[in-house]
Amino acid sequence: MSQESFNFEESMQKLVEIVKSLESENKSLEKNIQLFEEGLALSKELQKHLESAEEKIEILSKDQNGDLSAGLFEEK
Amino acid sequence: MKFEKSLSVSELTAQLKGLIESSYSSVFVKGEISNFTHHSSGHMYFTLKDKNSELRAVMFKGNNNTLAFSPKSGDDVIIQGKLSVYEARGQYQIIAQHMEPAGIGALYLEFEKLKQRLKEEGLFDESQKKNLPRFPLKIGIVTSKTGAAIRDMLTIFKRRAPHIKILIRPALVQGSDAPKDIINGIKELSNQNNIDLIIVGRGGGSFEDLWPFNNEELAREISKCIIPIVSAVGHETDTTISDMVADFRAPTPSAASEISTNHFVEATQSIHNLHKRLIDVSISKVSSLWQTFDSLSGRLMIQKPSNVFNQQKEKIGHLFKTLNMSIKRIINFEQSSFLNLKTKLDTLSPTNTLERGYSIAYKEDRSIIRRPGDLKSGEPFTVKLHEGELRAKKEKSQYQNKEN
Repeated sequence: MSQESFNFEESMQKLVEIVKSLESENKSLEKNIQLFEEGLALSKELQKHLESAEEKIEILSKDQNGDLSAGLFEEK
Repeated sequence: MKFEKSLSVSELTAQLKGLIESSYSSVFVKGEISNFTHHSSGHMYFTLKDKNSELRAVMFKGNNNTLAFSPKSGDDVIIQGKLSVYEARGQYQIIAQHMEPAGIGALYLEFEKLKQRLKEEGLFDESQKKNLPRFPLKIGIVTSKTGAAIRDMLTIFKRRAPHIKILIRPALVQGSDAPKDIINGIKELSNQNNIDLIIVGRGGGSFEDLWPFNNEELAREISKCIIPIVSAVGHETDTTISDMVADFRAPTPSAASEISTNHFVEATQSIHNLHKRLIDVSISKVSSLWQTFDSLSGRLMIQKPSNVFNQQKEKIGHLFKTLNMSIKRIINFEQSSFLNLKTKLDTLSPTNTLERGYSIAYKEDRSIIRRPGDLKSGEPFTVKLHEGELRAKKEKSQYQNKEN
């Protein structure tokens, strides 16, 4: 997965623009389909990233209930 | 009898004096003061006695002017001095060089004197004291291996900072052998590898029980030890020389454990807090991103081409329907106006008039006959009825007077 090359903020901004553009004017059906597909791909990618971020946070939150001090010092 | 060999009293007394003075040049003797006199010359004369015996005593001005107390009859005292003989009376006596109250009083005086001396030497100066390590990993403890002190300390370490390694050097903490043992304990621990801190102490006890911690040698050992030392002797109200000379005075052994783990506990707590804040912030960040994303993807889905297509289809359908209705309306309108016209037409048409029984008379040239004068006598004409026509001829005129 291109985890590094994917920029969340940029993609989000791009999706905003696509949606605005779709909403703003009457486009040809072809143009509409093209924009929509682009938007859908972005939205899937964004969703994936949000889900993985959520998962990471959940793992971290679980760690918090464990023995943090022990963990700190095991690394030494 | 060998009278020639007899000694004079003076000679005997001088011999005895020499003998006594050489044999008892420095003795400690304990007893109660009686017949105390502080002579105007500054010298002190008294008798030291116990249940069975008495000893004459003198303390000269040069020795008694440093006394830390004022002796009086009835005081139990300890005297250090030399024995001598007062030749004029043939009396042996002690010439006191030091005198101190016996019992707790003596210990207390000793404590005060040592404290004064070490203070003057600068052993208690803050500048002499080392900082305690903020995060000690290995701590040596010199204390009794039995007793509540070590138990309390270990419990606290285990609870607050279980990662810290503890090295216990059991030592006597009471009695005359204690100071030496504690000194050796400190030396042994400071020779160990990586000891960050040494705690020296014991639980509570009487002033005499804590006495080893007022030992001068121990005080000097604590002062010169290169490893920081926390002194933790007795209860909060007990203060010993060890406490004063140590790098840090803990009011109790338990407090010593707490003090040496405070930074760790605080750091752990703040890491916990930061960790929690980190997670809270992350969660709320992701939640708000989800919200933005959901609304955006909702808006995107509305723009789904099939949706748009359907919408347009619907729009076309609607337009078609509207058009249809408009056409119908137009047709209807046209139809009704046609009917109107027809009705009007019908009303105006002669056909209807004929139906009602009227008839129309035409001349041969199809012009309508309106008065009898329009026709000459005997001229043929046609009468149009509702159904069919009648052919006729005008008779000789009977109604000519009505013409023109």
